[in-house]
Amino acid sequence: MSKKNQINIVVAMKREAMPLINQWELKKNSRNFFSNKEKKINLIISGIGKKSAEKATIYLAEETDKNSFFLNIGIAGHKDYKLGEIILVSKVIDNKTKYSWYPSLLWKTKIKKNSLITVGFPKIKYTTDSLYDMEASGFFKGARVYAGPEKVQCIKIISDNKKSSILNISSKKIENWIHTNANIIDKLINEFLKI
Amino acid sequence: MIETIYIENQIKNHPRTNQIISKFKKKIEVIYCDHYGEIFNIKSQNFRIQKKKPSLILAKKEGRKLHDIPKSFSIGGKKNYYFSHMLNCIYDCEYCFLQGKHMSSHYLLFVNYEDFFLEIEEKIKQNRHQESYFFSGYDCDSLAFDGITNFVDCFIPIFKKNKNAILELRTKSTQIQKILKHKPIDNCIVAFSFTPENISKLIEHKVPSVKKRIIAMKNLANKGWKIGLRFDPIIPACNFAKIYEKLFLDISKNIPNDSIHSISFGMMRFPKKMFKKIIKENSGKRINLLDLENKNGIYSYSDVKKKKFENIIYKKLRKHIKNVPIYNCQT
Repeated sequence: MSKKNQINIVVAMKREAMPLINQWELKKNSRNFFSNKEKKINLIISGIGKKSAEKATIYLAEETDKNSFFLNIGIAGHKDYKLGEIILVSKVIDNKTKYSWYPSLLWKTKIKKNSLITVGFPKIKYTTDSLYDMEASGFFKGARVYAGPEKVQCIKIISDNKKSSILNISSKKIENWIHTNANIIDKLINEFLKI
Repeated sequence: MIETIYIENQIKNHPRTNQIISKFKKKIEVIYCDHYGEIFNIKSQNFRIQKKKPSLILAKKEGRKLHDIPKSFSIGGKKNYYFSHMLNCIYDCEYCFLQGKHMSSHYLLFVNYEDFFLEIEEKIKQNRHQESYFFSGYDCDSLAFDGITNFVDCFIPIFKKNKNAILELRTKSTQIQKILKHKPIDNCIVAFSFTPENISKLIEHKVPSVKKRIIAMKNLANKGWKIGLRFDPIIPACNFAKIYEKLFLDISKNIPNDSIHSISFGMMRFPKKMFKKIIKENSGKRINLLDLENKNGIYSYSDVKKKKFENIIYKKLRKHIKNVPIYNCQT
């Protein structure tokens, strides 16, 4: 892990956060705020929904270094992608306001990239080829006040598709998907922090 | 290597958009947007970071396509206009004003060339009793990206049929293959920008060597194309007179005088806001070492230095390249 820049990670749920807290040996600062000062990683559990994500991102930004990198990690649905597949988000659209954010894609990675739509309620039908989640637009709205498009990124792991609906998601599955991808996330973060 | 292309929704089915995408053999990421400004004009982005891996943005140019050029930047004409089918450049010159002008270093390409043609032809019609000069290469290198943009094949025919209009293609590249496929026309000037080789090697990153560019000019001149020589900006260096004289001599040995349409040169100059942005994003770079002075909102060399450089440049140019008009681009 690069020692140069600090990274602020926002996740919605505790079960998404646990494998990452273990991976990076993060210590609890307050109820939902964890960090490893040596590795310069901060993580906050925002709660579900874009408003919560925005609030938590702003809190994290105010509490941490000015030049920090921001990353949203979480689960998302897509009509066809395999469960557990990791995706780097190339565009975030807020379904309500229709506002879009475009994170700069500067890194050489084999990870699939796709756009994402943040919705207010869990999506049962997948009407487009984009991913669907409930937090990313709030995260981007908050983080982009503090950092440019190169330093605000989003990684999603597929939790549901047209063959396996959100009703099949369990806490154990979420932890398992994040845990399986933790090394890939770690490598990607190393790349992010090289800029 | 471009890996991401942003495309405005309104031109996603434009024939030129499809032609451009088909030129990328490798798998590229295509992302659609409503307006290029959503990516290109975002204030908080970092030009230098993006420059490490720029993306391509395909968009439609709205509004005016042609802009007036001050008389002091002319190369003999009274009606002078510039147009930009593209913003930003594949090269990375440390002094480049584009890094102070644009928020983003992505390559922004306007695919609606036909709208540029209409405006150019309308202007030619308006100025039918005198020559109109059209300059390309202000916001980009006219030729460096031609393999993708097909700019030459599209724009040269417009000037082939409008002899009362002069087109300047300004470049630091050696991408002349497409031009060579056309029959030379007298009203197109292929203008090459130069700094002496040792300066170029140090601060004009990714730019072909002076030698290669002289060969490209020679090939064009041999085929009957008119050449422009552009020494803008003039850059101070050790042995200033000697290294500039060597450059002029190398050019004159290879390019016959009657193939040279014009020579122009200019001092380094930036509007204040642009200069401040460049300095902010390039701390520790050589641009900080230039002793530029603010005079009426323009950062440039002191009047004493300017005069000294001008005298040397004029003298050395006249020594090696005779009977070719020389223009000093003054602000």
